[in-house]
Amino acid sequence: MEKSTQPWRKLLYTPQPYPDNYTDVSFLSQLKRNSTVKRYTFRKLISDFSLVSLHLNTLALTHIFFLGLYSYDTRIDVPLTVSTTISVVLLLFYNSSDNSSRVVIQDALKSSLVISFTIFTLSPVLKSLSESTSSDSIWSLSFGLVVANLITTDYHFNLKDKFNPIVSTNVLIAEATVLASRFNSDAKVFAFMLFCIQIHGIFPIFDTWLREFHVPIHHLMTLATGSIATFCIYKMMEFPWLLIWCILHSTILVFCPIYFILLQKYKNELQGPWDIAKPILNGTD
Amino acid sequence: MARSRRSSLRLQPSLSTSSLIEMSQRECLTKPLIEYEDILPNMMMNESSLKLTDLLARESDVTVSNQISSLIEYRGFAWHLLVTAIHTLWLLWTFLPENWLHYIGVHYYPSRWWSLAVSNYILILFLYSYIALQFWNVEVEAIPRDDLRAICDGDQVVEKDIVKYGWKDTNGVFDLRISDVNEVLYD
Amino acid sequence: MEGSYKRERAKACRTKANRLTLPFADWRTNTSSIHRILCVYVNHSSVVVVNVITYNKVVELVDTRVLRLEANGSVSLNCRETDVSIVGYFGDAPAKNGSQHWKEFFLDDKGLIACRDSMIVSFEPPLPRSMQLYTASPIELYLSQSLNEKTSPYVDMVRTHGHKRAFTPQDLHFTQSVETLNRCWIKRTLLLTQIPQMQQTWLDDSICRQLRQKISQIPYMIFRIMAKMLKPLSITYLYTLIAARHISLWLIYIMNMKMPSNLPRLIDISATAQQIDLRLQQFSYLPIQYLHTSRQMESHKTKLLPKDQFAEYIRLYNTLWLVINDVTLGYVVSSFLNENKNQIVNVFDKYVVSKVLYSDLNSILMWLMDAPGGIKLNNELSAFLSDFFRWIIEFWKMALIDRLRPNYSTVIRIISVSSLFGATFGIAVFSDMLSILTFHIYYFYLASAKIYHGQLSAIRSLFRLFCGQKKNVLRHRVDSNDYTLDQQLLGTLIFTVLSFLLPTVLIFYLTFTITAVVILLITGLLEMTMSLLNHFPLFILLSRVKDYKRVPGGVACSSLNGYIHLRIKPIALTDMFAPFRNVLQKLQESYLSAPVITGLLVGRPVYVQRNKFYKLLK
Repeated sequence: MEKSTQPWRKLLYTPQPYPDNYTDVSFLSQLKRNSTVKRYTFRKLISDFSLVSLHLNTLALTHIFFLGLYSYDTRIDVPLTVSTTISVVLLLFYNSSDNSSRVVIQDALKSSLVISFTIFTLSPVLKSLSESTSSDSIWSLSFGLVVANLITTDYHFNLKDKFNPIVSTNVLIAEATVLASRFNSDAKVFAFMLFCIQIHGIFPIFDTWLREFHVPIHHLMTLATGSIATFCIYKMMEFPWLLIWCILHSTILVFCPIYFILLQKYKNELQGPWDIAKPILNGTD
Repeated sequence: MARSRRSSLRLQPSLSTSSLIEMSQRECLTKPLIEYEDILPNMMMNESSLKLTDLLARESDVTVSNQISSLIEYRGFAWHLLVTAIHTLWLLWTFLPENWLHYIGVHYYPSRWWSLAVSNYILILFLYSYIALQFWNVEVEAIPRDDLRAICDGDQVVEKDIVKYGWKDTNGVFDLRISDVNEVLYD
Repeated sequence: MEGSYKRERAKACRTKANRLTLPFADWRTNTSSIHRILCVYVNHSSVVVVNVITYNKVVELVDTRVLRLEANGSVSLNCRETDVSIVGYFGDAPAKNGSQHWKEFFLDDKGLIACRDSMIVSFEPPLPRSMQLYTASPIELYLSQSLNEKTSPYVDMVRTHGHKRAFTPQDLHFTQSVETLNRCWIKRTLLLTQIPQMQQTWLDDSICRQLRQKISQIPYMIFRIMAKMLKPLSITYLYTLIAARHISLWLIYIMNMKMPSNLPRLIDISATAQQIDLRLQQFSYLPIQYLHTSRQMESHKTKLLPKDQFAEYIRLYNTLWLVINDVTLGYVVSSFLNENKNQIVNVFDKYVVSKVLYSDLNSILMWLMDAPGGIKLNNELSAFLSDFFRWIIEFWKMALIDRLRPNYSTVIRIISVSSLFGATFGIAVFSDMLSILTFHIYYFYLASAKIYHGQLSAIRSLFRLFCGQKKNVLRHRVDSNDYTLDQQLLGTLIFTVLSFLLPTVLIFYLTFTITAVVILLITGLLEMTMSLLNHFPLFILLSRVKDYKRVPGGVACSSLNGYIHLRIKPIALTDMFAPFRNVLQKLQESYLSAPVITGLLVGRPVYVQRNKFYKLLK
């Protein structure tokens, strides 16, 4: 028997009585498998993916408003007053709950006034911006910008991360400008721009705050926006678009979580002492 | 007990966590333990799973990779879905018969010839990259044999006066001008 | 180790020093009964044979007082010049003692004259009267201009390592030897004046040369006669010259004066001012140049013309000749203009002013107003810009052209009168008139360039805002930054608006750039003609054609009849035209290089830089 009483040691510099291709029992005993893998529940996934759905809903609301103004020549006062009152109410709500943010509120008021006056002044310029361009190029430009927005949005899945909505907001404002240049009256331009900014600028900040402190209201908002968007699509557009919309939402909210959890069984993360050690800096990790 | 505890403490590396000391105490009760085998070759362990090094390695998080946040996983998932969707669309576009496409309602789509062309082009591009890289390295990046860059370096510290160091031992810092060296050696 | 290295190099120089130079003479047809002594001029250990004395017996030379006997029995030349002495003999030695330091010349087996431990080099003696001279390095025709070359790390490395020692002892020795050659004719004539009994053994002293010398003395004699006649007037002449010089210096100062508050100097704006400045500078510098060269020329009996004086001489006569040419051409141009005044006025009015500058420009601007070439522009902005520029053109026509129209003949007369001073003046006045007529186009270009550039920088900065970044001026890099909602909104709105308005501004900018470039081309052509007339190296070209030995650009060695023969290499053509090459290179840098083209794309305006080229050519 080749095995002697001397145990096999994991050293190269000493001659050992074992052959070169000897595999010891302790081989890979320090292997760790899937130690960092997160456990996902349906609840977590659905609540996370509902953020995507919320974003899609807000986008849909914006574009429905545009469609109404452009093709159906709806009156601007109803949606505009609704959205303005809601945003003012939200601001007051936000203010009353959080006393330390008085300065923030004043800043928000000032900036909202600045915003309103700017849009008011620039409406004639925006109106004639792309007069000579054909509609098709505007639609394609707008589509590209929406795709860019979907890619760059910060859905803020993890509340501890820093919220960075700058690029997506800018893209969306650019898209709103581009679409607004199709209108033929100043009032429509003003209304549309203001609506867009309220929904995409003020609402995400409010939504983040909601998710932190009043989670059920956040879910309520998601459902509310979803239902309003679906209702408007049903009213304004043909059946295939509604079908596509419902399929999209069900995919996001139902199919994707199931698929995600099914894919978890393929996770096979290996760690061991052969990996690079991660230095612990500042005493905390 | 105290003696064995002291001896076990002597054998261990100086770690500060208390659990290790407890573990070593626990082990010591039954069998004498070895930390590094070449210190005490007489005391041996047969069961490798009880080796302390093993336990230490298994308990520590030093080599664990970064905690993966859910954003990264969702992003990867979204990419996976997108790429699968594009792949499916590509395959459908390539393989579906024309009347099926008309039945769906798609009448205006790029010619199917492009599916073959793009695939082949990418493949040949991969193969050509081997050749192109070789050509680039040989023709463009290689300097001629009599080029000054093959002899000298731009980062040299040049001593302009050859008399100072030319006839002494090699200076570790300064280099002499190659034209002066040629003059001394060959003129 | 290094001491022995130095010693070795010094020894090498000394052994190469024993080199004799001979005038070309064929000695193979001599008989053994004739002996020869070589008289030489020695300078810095290089030896030039000045004359050869043939004799049968030494005694007859002593008797005819060519040689004299020394105390120790040796012979030496009977002259006062200590530079000239006897170096050697051919045949028998003339004196027994004292000839030990003389070299012996003999015919070697190839039939060539040879000497032990010396090398014989043949050459043609340069005639100082015809201003021939040998130089080791080419004469410097122009004041050296240092162009700042681009440095790259590789160029720096080559410059550090490839450095050659500037002037080795061998180079110094060679230069001195070559300069010795130049003095040989003078030494010879000195020797002959002091010892007239010596034969002249140089065969090339033919009659033709003497005749040529006599002929070339004729204008010189006429000039001297005239100078003698005008001598009483010379003092008044001198005073008027000095006064005129002072006035011209004052005018130069005015033109080159730096204006306050960064306005351009007069010389930078106007071609006429530049031309006047050049002429005045030439005029004020002429007397000095003349004094320099003429003094040297007169004293050619004792001293030779040094190299830089030679260049001065060339420059002086070149300037004079070019000025005379200029005035002649100007007279021709002036008479042409006077004869065809009416036709020129008609053509100018009908084609240039009314059509090209006015109606064509108007129609281009109207075309830009709605969809030029199918490009869709922002209608409001293009209409606004187009109307604005057209209004300015109307105003220009009203203010300038309508007032000028009845006075075209006066303008032509001004040009023809200024041509009398020189064709360059005529061209300069014409160029200035052209720039005055088209200055509105140039300012259109500048204005549209500024708008375009401003818009591009705004778009660049707002794009950074679009991506959530900001330029960190302190660290010269771009960092990410948190913007508030109103900043984002304003920035994005303005960014979109500017982006949509960019094509319109770009089209206008391109139009004006093209017109400005065309005008720049025409002005440049005129300037080129002027600089050709002012600075063409006519004198040196013709000197080269007439007698290439007057323009030495170094020496070349070849073999002639078995001896090493030194001959003068004339200056290369590229060296003669060196300032023009510099100007072309500078032109290319200013107008055609990569930074300028990217500047055009970005909106940096191209300025006319007259003075830079003018400086190079002086």
